[in-house]
Amino acid sequence: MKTDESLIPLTPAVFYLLLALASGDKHGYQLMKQVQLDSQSQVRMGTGTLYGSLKRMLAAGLIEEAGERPDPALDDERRRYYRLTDRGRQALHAEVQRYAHVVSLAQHHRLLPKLAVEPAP
Amino acid sequence: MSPHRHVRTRMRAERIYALLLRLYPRGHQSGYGPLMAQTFRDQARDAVATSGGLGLGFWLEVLADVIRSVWRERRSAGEGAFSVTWVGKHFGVVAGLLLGGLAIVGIVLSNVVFASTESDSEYTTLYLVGYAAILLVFTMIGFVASGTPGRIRAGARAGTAAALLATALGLATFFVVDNLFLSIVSQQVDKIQGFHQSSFPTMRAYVNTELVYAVLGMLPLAAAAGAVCGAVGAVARKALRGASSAS
Repeated sequence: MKTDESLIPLTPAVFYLLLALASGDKHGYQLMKQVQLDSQSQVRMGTGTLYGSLKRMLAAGLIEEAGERPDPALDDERRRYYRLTDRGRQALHAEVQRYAHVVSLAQHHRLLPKLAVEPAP
Repeated sequence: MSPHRHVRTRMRAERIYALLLRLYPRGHQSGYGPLMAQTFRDQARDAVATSGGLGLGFWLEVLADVIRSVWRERRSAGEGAFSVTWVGKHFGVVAGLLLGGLAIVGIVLSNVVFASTESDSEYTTLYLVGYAAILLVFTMIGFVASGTPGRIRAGARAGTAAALLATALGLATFFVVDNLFLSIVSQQVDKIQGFHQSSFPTMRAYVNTELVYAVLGMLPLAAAAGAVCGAVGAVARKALRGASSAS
């Protein structure tokens, strides 16, 4: 998979936002909670930081606004949903590959035991 | 907490956050303000539901996020949190806060740390020079704030803001110092004489009443002096610009 090298490495905020969107379209507050959950509260994103990051990710073409809502009947129509673009998916893939390489290096240098990968909650 | 109080707490928080949103650059506000308000509403609703209220921790996190993101958005919008444009627009306020800060330090040092029991009349010349310097500073504030075209109203406004803020901070400091360190402050000759000539039952009552009179008298006087000096500064800038373009 080809990606724009200038995007890598991603900042923790951008990485976790892309990761959160990999499982489906989300609005701002859903993203905020998903990032906190995925990062085990290591990355706590306030509203201001969240929308600043989303603005820059939109401008970089990593995400886009989703036209349709997952469940319009249950939702406030003023909410805006975001989704990954192909470019965003590629950047996320490249970053995960980079992390995987770092993990394998750490294991090679005996800095990290072989991990049994836990399934996501 | 009752559901009614939950709603009131959330509504109050939303009003506060709406005010904080005004700190962001206009472009960011118009593009993301309603979305940010909606997300904050969700966040506050969940926090109230789980913790029963919005405590100090919640607000500290919100404030830290606002400060960080306002700084970043203003920088990326080319305004800069403390950039030349921002400072230029609010020059009077910034200068007033700086002058007020200096006043606070000066008042605490001269009244508490290195407290003197001598009468103010011993320092008349020094005070006169000090007041002249302060008026000159207000004039310079008007000069800078009036911008290249030398807008007189902008200069007067900046001078007024600076004078009012500096005076208000100075008077507030006197109020705190005089009440917290009354035993030190009450050794001043002028205070002792004034108290004996007054009909107040206690030194504290005398000092606080004098401060109220000072607030009533000095704030309008400072505003007027700041406005006049600021306008003079703006006129000077306009005149200098006229002279340089003529030559």
